[in-house]
Amino acid sequence: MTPIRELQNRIRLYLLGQLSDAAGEELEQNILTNAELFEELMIVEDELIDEYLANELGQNERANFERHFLATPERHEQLRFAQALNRHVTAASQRKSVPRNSWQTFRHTPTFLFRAAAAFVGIALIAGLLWFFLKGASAPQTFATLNLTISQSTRGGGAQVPKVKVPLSKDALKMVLRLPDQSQGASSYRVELESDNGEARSLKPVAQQGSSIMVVIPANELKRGQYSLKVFAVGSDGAEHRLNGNYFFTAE
Amino acid sequence: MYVWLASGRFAIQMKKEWVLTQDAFDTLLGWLDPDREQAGMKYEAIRTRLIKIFTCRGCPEAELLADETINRVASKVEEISRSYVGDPALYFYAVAQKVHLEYIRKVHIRQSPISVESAELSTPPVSLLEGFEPEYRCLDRCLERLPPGHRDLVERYYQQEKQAKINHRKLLATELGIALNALRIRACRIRLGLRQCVRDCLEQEPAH
Repeated sequence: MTPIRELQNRIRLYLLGQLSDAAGEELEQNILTNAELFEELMIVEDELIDEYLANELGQNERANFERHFLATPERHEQLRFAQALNRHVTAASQRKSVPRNSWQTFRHTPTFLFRAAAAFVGIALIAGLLWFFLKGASAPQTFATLNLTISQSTRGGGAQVPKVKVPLSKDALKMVLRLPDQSQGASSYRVELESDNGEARSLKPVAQQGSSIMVVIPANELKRGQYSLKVFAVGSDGAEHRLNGNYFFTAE
Repeated sequence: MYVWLASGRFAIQMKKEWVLTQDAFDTLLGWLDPDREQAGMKYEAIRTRLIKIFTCRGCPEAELLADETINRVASKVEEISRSYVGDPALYFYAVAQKVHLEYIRKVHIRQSPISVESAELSTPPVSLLEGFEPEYRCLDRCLERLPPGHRDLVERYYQQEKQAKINHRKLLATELGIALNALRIRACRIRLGLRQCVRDCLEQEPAH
């Protein structure tokens, strides 16, 4: 293990409350006198939080994180900030055009062999996708339906929140979102689905009917938790305008 | 003297017979560095790091404990500055240890027979944390104020997961012509600035 890796590992153990008292005190003295080490501590803190939110911590690490790391209001604030950042980054990466990123990735790959392999994988992927869409075998055939109305609350708690049982007995969940009166008449809509662990994804409405739009999420992508949906009205000039409020539901 | 607030949270009261005066504070700064500006920076660094250390030890009142540590050092600084040899930060650390021990003892008495750790560190699971909608709104505003290069870096650095994330960051570092660790530090600094901006923004937002 390189010295920097070893140091990061030690900081990690310290943050999770797993370092011995003596080692912890030695580290703390260094944190107090060494600006670089203090900065490293803050970086490892952020990385731990991100790994926790991405479900990348092992069982013991996760338990220590919740028991020790999250013991203070300061850390709760850090976690909420990370959840917000996570959601923003997910939404931003979905908005960005795929061709540009793919091209940049391709342009920076180091060897010709790698490029050739990437091209082969790309062709195989396109062929696979074509097969998938032409065959249409995986398209959902049966739906569970939830009718949702917009709420001005920022949280989805409460008995009035519609619930759906998972795993679904149908192929997919269809959500019918009733639009508020003043927001009808946009040329199209975009929907963002967010789970309570901060994961966000964009959904394209499959249908627009009168004062409602419909979005579909496959059954195998629905996990237990609270979900909120945000709706963006897209004008004829392409400008987006977010509708005030959220649509909530719980998968249990 | 230690007191418990009505909310049940731990708080510390300074000794009534001693109050941090401007003179004591000036002497403290003088001990940290003869240059006033340098001294101010050292003072801020010590305070910030003490807060972090108390937070890492699971103390909910980290800021109060850090200030209590500083006040105790300040109350004796004339005496210390004459005899103490070494980095002043380490003296602060020794006092912080004492303050922490007293805090633990107090919590222990209050919470007994529950272990100090479980009393101190009990925390709700994440699913019970309040929503982060206000943070998200503020973050949007703060990101808009960032220089475009910084915003782009944040959005690209923190996207993807696991191996894809590692590869993506290597690629980003190559594009920027910097080492991976330099990129890591740069992203962390921008994130830290964003967090402060979000904190300031939340203070200005009406309570929900």
